[in-house]
Amino acid sequence: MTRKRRRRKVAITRQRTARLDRVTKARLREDRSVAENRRAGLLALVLSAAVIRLTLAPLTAWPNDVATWVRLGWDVLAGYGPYDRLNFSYPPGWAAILALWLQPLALVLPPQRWATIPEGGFTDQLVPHPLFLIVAKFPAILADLGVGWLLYRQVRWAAALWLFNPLVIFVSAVHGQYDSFVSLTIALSLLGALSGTVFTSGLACGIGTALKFAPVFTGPVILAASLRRGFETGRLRQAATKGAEWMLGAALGLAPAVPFLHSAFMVVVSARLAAAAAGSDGLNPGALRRTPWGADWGFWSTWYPVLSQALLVLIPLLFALIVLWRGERALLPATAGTVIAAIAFQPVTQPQYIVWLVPVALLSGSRLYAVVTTALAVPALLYYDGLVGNLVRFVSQPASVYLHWGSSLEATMESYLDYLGQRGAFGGQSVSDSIALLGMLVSPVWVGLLFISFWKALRDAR
Amino acid sequence: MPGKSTRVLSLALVSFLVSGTLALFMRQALPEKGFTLVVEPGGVRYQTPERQYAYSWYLTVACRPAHLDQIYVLTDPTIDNTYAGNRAVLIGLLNHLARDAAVIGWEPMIETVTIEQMRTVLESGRPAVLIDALGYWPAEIAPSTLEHWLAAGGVLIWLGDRFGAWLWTADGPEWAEQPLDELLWGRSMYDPDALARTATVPLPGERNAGLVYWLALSGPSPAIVSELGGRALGWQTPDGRRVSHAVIPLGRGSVVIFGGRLVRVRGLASEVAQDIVVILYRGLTDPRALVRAGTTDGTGASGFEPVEPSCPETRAGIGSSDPWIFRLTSASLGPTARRRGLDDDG
Repeated sequence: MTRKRRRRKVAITRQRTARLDRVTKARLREDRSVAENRRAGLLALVLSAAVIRLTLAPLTAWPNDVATWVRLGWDVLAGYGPYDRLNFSYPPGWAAILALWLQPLALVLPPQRWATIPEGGFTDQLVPHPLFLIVAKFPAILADLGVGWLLYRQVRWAAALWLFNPLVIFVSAVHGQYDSFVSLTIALSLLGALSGTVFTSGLACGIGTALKFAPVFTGPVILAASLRRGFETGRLRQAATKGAEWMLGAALGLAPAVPFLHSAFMVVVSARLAAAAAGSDGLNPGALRRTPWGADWGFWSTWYPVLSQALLVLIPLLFALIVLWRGERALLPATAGTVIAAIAFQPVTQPQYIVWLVPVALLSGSRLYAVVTTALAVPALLYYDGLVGNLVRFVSQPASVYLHWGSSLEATMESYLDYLGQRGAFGGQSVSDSIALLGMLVSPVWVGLLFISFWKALRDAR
Repeated sequence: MPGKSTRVLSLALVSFLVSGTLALFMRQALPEKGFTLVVEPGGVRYQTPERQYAYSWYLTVACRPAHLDQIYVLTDPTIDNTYAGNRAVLIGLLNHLARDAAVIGWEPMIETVTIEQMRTVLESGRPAVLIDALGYWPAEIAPSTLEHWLAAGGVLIWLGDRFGAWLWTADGPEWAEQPLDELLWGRSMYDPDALARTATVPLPGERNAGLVYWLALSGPSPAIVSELGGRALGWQTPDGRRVSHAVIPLGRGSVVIFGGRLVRVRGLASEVAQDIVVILYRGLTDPRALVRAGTTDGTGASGFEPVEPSCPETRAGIGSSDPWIFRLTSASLGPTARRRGLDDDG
């Protein structure tokens, strides 16, 4: 009897084990299939985003800006530093990234073919070769995809909103600018702080600053979050350690840029600032000065430039204090607010700066931020169109020159020069009128978003 | 999980950055072999470097007096209506001049001057280089002062519309009764039928001389420049009636004319600065300068150029103006020539 019972017990146990195995395996299969679906989803998203970008990249460019990358590449091949011949006025980190990609390009495409000034005197701009364009734009496209990957791991729909945002695509794949590195490093720094990897957070902020300076504005806010994390563990010493860890990371990220920061760098920076002061304000409140309503307003034309510079410094510090007080729950809106201030109070707000804000807005989980920042792509692209009269024609010069696709360069430049000569609705040139109008329309959005960020960062304190 | 992805991406970024920085440093720290020039009896032996890509090179032998190392640039702030449009472009020219000279190892003395200081330089009779890139001739400086200074060996570099057609007076710009070319040479150096066109083509080989400023909107006529004993260089309009650069002698000095204004055409004023450095460093202000040009697929070129120095200050120079090379080197021939008893009319 006992033997029989034992056998039965063993049989039951075996049956149970088999059932459990089946359930576990089914669950594992399910998990694997979910993971595979996630991977497939990410792959599909990233691949389709990459295909769009890599198709546009060789055919289009904003020649004025990409010509700077061409000149930098030539200087590097000649054995000169990025600032030795004053042809490059961007931070040294970007020179390093370009140097890395452009030196091997010379083995495939000889440097004399990197760009050309088309015969006929229609333009005095270098028009870059499609192969050069692919190579020079590739790092920024990778940064785009990197941001997409980061976002996908947090909020899936956010990755799609980023990867298929027309402004994001335009900046990296069409224009040839590299603002997606700012977006990537700010997002990395922010996520690092949120996940407690303080050193990585500082490192990302340092790298971003070496590449395009703007991430430096988010430094105080994210450092404050790291300090606060230390305080939360109870001791001043812990806070100091966390702060030091963050600073060390930032210093290491910035270090590769430091050897290039000599007097020639300051010469190009001063020249750039002088040119900025003489030019348009872009998509910021300073644009009001260029309108008939603001031109005679003494405060705006005299005091705004000084006030904006003060706000550019004070607002990030204020947000840092809020984070120090409120802790990590204030970090996302505080970072968003800081980036908004960094965009809105720059001497010149180029439309591509909007790209800096998009990942932070999407990570915040706030629908308002997400909708508004995504919608800002419209005025940004209209601004570019307002600068040149016909955006598609202007940026497709490489396709026209090298592949003879689309409008001829002669027709493009003729219509461009006609547009530059036209009088606008305010009595000024069409170009300055259009962009002043857009700047004026977008400015209240910045101010509104800034107030919302303050409110979001402080609301738990109420 | 976010910790892992941020670490991976941050590490990838920092690796890129460090590799790029090292690539930049290596390129500067391990310079490739440059142009070489050896003075030998009867001439100069030259060699151009090996590269992985094609480039053009120029060999020049010219009378290059030491006073070409003394450069004055007119930047008088009272001339506020500049053709440059933006004074930042003028500052850009100054900065580029200094940097382009420095990268080839040349250290000229570059000074900015007001109208009053310019007059002092001209009246001193000491030859030097004077750059007037504002497009105006100061009305308070008599053309005869300029003429005497040029006769003594001075070099004037002019950028603007027609040479000296616009005067700068206390009341602003004023059209001159007679432009400077008519006053200095007794005739115009411009073709009255030439149109202002942006299109230009490089002058063939040696006549291009590796000059990169290509506008000839208000450039002089190459035929008249030649009749005045000068040399047209750089680029020309397709009809051949205007050139982008001209060097016209006057006494022991010369006037270098650019075929257009100093304008912000692309980025900073780099093309003009580079050309001024190339012209002065190689002694292209000597209208009789010997220029040899060549291109190489990157394997390098070498040879011997027989030279008969024409003055004690004869120098040979070799280099490339291609931006992916931009190197220049030079060697003095004068003393060697005297030792060998060659002709010396200096």
